[in-house]
Amino acid sequence: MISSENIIAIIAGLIVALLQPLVSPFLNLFGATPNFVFAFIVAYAIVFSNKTRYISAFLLGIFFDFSQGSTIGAWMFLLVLSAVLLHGFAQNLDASNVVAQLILGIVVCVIINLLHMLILIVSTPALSLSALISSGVLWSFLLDSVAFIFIFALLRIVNIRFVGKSAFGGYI
Amino acid sequence: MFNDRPSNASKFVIAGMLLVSLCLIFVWSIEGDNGRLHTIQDDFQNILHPISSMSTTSSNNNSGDNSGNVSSDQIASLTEQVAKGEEYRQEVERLQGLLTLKDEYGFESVGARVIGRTTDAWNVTVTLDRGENDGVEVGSTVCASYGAVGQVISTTASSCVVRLLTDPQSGVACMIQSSRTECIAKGSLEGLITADNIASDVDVQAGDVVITSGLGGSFAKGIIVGTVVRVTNSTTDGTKTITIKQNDNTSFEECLIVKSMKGDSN
Repeated sequence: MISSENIIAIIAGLIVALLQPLVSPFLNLFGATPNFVFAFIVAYAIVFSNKTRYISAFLLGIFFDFSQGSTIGAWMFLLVLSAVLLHGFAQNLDASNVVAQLILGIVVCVIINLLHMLILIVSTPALSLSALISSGVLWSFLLDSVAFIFIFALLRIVNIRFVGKSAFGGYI
Repeated sequence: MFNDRPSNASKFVIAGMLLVSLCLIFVWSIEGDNGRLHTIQDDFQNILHPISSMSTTSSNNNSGDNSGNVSSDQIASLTEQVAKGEEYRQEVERLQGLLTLKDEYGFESVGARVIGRTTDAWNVTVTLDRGENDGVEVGSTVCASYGAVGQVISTTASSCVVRLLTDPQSGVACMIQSSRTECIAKGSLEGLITADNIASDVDVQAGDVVITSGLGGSFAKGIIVGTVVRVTNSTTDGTKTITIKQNDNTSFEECLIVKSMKGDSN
């Protein structure tokens, strides 16, 4: 039987997969656009503790890489990695400490965006560091963080309302 | 605390996912633009193109950065294409008109393009890109899609000059189609075509069609000159003067030079 957490992951995953090509081009900031898929994976991995986060990260990573024209495997790798990182860090956080969770999410956004820039430099020799910065790769961290905060808030509401658990499995 | 720690099997799966991702990054980096992954990516993007194009079009229209410049270039390019398309459409329309005219009258003719046009009111002529080498002779009637427009007055090997009906020096033997009344239509400095000395008892009204009568042999017979737009009665001798308007006011760019009418022995 599919748990409510998995249903939320499927529905929310489909929504962000649609949001990414439809909405993100409108939110262009110095050439960077928000990565809703990444923000969702970070928020989902913090709010929910099931294994779905890894599968979601992998599948959404495939979708993102193929649909956005970026280096194939880059976001696949980074999304799974962020889910793993969040598992490692978040288990030591108090589930009710929303601020700490937000800070953790934003830090992960920074780390993953820097790693993404590194992957782009390695996989695409034509790109220089200055070109990447000027084309707004670093700005994407800001947009991703904002997207993460919104999605995190939404998932917490959904979690409390429909699943009835606090973050990391504790009942409220 | 986490109540769902990854088991050993899960750890293997996660490690496998990361490994597959790294392999894909490596393959994608070395395979080149025509590689299999690039091809699949292109196909996938083509499938998603209808969705993504909706947002990118609007985004380009709204943004003022570099992507906005690209959009301006695209708009300029598209505008040029639309203008070219409209030009071709109009040309096809005009040529279609000429073909229709040729079919209607059945004359033998040669098609020509206008390559020169005078701008002064007292010498209204055009130069065409056909001349003696194409069988054009002085005196040949020239028709646009809407009817007769003038007569060849001089030729060279590869071009000819046509005096238009609106030229003050031109004169063409005409006939009011409804009453079969003959008259001489002349151009004027105002660019109008008029015919005077029409008997007062002739029933002529605005809207009547005027055609060439063929008398004098200067113009081929039966070609439309225009329609009557005004009838003026003279107070002195009781005759009528009619003003003729050609059926299309736009300047023609292509025309037919009549070489011989159907049934002509020439």
